[in-house]
Amino acid sequence: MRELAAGLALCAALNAGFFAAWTPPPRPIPLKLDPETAIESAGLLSLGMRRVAADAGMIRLLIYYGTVETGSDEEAAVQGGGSYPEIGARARRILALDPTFSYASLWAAGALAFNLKRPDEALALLDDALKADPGNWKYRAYVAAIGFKKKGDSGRVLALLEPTLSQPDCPTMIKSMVAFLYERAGRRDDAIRVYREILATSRDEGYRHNARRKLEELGVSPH
Amino acid sequence: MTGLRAAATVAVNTVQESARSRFFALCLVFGGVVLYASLVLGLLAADQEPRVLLDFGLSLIELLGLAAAVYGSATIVLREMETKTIYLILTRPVSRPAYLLGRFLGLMAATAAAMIVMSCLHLAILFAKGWAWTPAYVAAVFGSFLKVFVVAALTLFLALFSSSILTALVIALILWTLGHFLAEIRYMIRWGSGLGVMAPLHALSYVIPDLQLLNVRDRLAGPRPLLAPLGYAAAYAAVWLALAAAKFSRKEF
Repeated sequence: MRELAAGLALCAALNAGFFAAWTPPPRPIPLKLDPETAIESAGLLSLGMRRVAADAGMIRLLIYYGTVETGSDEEAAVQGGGSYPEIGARARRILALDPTFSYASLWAAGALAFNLKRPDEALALLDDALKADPGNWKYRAYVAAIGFKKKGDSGRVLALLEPTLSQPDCPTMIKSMVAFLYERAGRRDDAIRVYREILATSRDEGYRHNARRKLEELGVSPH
Repeated sequence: MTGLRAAATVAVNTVQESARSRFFALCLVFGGVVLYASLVLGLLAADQEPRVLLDFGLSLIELLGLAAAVYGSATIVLREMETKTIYLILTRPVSRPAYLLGRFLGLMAATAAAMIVMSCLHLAILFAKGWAWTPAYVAAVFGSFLKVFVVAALTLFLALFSSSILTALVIALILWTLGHFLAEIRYMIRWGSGLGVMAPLHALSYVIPDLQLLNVRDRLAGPRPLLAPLGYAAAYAAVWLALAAAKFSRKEF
């Protein structure tokens, strides 16, 4: 018993002394667990797996958006349309788990603003993402691009999104949309470049198939 | 024979025993199978496949390292006491603290080797999937090892203190989860009502190891200080190892 008491006292002194002398880097805020995923999130957090929990959330979000909604038009769903009311909430949960997982916020904002035509929801999500990671310039670029999209100014949308295309966290959905806007603006060479990039880098078979088809339509080889 | 040399001899012997043990072999085989299975999850993540493979792989390496080290710590001395084979060593000029230190360090060396082997396998999968190398990977595996090291030292003490493998394993796993929940526990203390209700939790928050501090795996994109966490882990483990040695020195068997 003496050893246990000594150990507890020494650990208390060590913890108190260590954290008085050294401040660890800021950690993600404690998570407010939502009822549907509380057990899974608590389980993963208790094992120190915030990133894995965020990854699982992202996979679930992709499956959610990739599943045709009951009673909806299948053709519209293939084009990314539909209602998908939970996209914003699901993306916020991922953001709370891992504030550095910018891909999730950019992907969800892109889907909301450009596919589902709900720019205000996308802007609200990006606002939250900016609070979690104020230095992320891509969030600002998306905010501005969505603003110009609302005004129907495709040229400014393109100009704002172009620098984000080369970033590793740029969703293929945005690349595909930018390529489409290039095509519509008559910038054939730029469209071909982006479609080829999608073919070379994306792991999403749906977008790869679309890029291949578009390149064929533009009369060029995919390579 | 000096104490340190004796400890080193015991440690080398422990590494050889561990390498031959079925449990370690099983851990490695299971690690390989599970890392391979994570490829399926990666496919579901489309563009984020490398990230998912990275995160799941690092977590699995840590969990398997933990299983090997905690199980080893809980059994390594108690089993020898049960089977009386411990007399074969302690009748030689090997002090009890040297024996204990040697056993523990040997076990940790074997665990580190197993984690390195699994990491190599993991890296092979990641490179095959086009993952771009970052030194954060090494920091993450090192942070995982530090967590395992701290909890294994605690488990060794608990096993000697309780003389029960099961008790030591259960308490170690509880401490593992609490150690990752410290930020949340402190948050609850700050917002909890009534000092009386929160007092035990407050006291607990001071003694359990802050494993989230060593959890580099969960902040690969953020700052990754290593020296201070290393010092913390070493000091924390040293406390419990020293007390385990004190307990073992007075133990009758």
